[in-house]
Amino acid sequence: MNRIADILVRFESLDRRWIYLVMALAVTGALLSGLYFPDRPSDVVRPVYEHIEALPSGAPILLSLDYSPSSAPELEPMAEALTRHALLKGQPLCFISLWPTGNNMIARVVSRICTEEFPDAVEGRDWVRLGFQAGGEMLVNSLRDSLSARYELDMGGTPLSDLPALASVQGLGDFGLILSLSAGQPGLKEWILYAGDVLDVPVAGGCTGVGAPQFFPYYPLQLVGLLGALKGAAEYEAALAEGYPDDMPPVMRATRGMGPQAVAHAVIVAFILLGNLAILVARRREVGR
Amino acid sequence: MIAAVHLSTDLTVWVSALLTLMVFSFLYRDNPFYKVAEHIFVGVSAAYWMVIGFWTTLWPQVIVKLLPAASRVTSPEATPGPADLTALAPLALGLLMLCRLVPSWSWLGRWPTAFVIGTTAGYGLVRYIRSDFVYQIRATVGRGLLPMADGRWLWQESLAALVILIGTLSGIVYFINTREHRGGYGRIAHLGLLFMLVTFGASFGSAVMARIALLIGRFQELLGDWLGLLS
Repeated sequence: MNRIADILVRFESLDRRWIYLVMALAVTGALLSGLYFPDRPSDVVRPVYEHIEALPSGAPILLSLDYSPSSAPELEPMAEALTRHALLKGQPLCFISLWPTGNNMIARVVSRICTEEFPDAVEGRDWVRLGFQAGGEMLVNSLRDSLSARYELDMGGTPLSDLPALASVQGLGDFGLILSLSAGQPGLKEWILYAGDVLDVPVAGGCTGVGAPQFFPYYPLQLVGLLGALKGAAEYEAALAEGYPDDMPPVMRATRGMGPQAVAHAVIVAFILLGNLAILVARRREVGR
Repeated sequence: MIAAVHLSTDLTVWVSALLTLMVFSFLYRDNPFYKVAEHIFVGVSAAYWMVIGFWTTLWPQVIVKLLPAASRVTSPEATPGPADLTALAPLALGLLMLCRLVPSWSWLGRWPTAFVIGTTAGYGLVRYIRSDFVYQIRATVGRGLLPMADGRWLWQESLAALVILIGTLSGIVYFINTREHRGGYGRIAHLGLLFMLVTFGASFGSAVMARIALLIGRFQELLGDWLGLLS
């Protein structure tokens, strides 16, 4: 018993580099073993899926990729799943960004999903890249009445009037859904404040785990639904797998990340428990003296 | 699902992987590799933002508007229209902002700052009052404590509404410091504190989850894109 106590007490002064090493090994092991846990859509994620399912055929969706590479591991799986869904359902998708890094983020999603997975999809008809424009909330504000107020051409140089995907779109109110995948400001909050609440156009989105608590109060009155962190993306992938079982890869990106995520959390919890036990044992010994 | 090592032949993947390892090396201790990666990151970020800022803001919003013929540089087929002299206003404000670099003229830099802050505050005030105040009150108490659907009492939503209402009111009480937190009033304030602690705990949990997701993203790139170990 004393020996166990001696070992536990050592955790009180454990070099934090051991924790990093154990965490790295745990994540590596989980990734290499291909461990994953099937998920199911929660009540906050499912409405986004159902809203897109209920959209009339051809109703365009605005997808704003408001993040940079540092948040891509969390938000890119959402962008891929939402893009996949829109193209499967036949909803024209309009990519936009409030972040200067957005054009590269759009290029990655377009390359991985629009061109690789949907070779028959045509730019201009099935999806459109409008890209980044400066201004943040003021950009959202100026797009409310007219997209052409700030975008004369798409990223490929085609005038907006020549894009069939946007034929029915004058301003933001003409979209069937506005989606923002947001890693901070400007992002989802600006789309809620300056577009959704003003025009009554449905807004939904995804955010990083850090930002999620800030956005939950907007659901369900001001947000159709919310995809929170990698978990939200995995839930959306689960909804897609349910709805389109024949068109989906066996395991999608976020779902694949949830196995290592669970293992990493278990490691953290284990270290928290060991650390607390170490303090308790040390205190008890202190009192015993 | 472990595959054989299949090193990437893509230079960008190698650069990305090596920079990742250089940054990770800081976890052991500070070292020159980390410093190099840190300096590259800062330099590349600053240059990237400057280039993006020039081509997405200065070029189309100022230069092309004042000198329409310049549009032919990026679009040879473009038909230049008349000059838009309203672009002189943001140009002037931008130049005034640069005056902060000269100590004796730095006071001029306060004008564009005041303009930006004033406009944003004035404009944002209306939106924030509507979305973050009025709509949030409606979301908190709007559906009432006894929501019904098809003649059925939705007890789960009812409980959630009650918790939100109690949490909000007790949280407000906690921040009212004009009355001493004693007796029943103190217990309500303490309840508000407990609600906040639970909220902070949830926020911290979310932040940890986010960081782990980023770590997994890096490892997926190292093990998958770089080493080709993930099928």
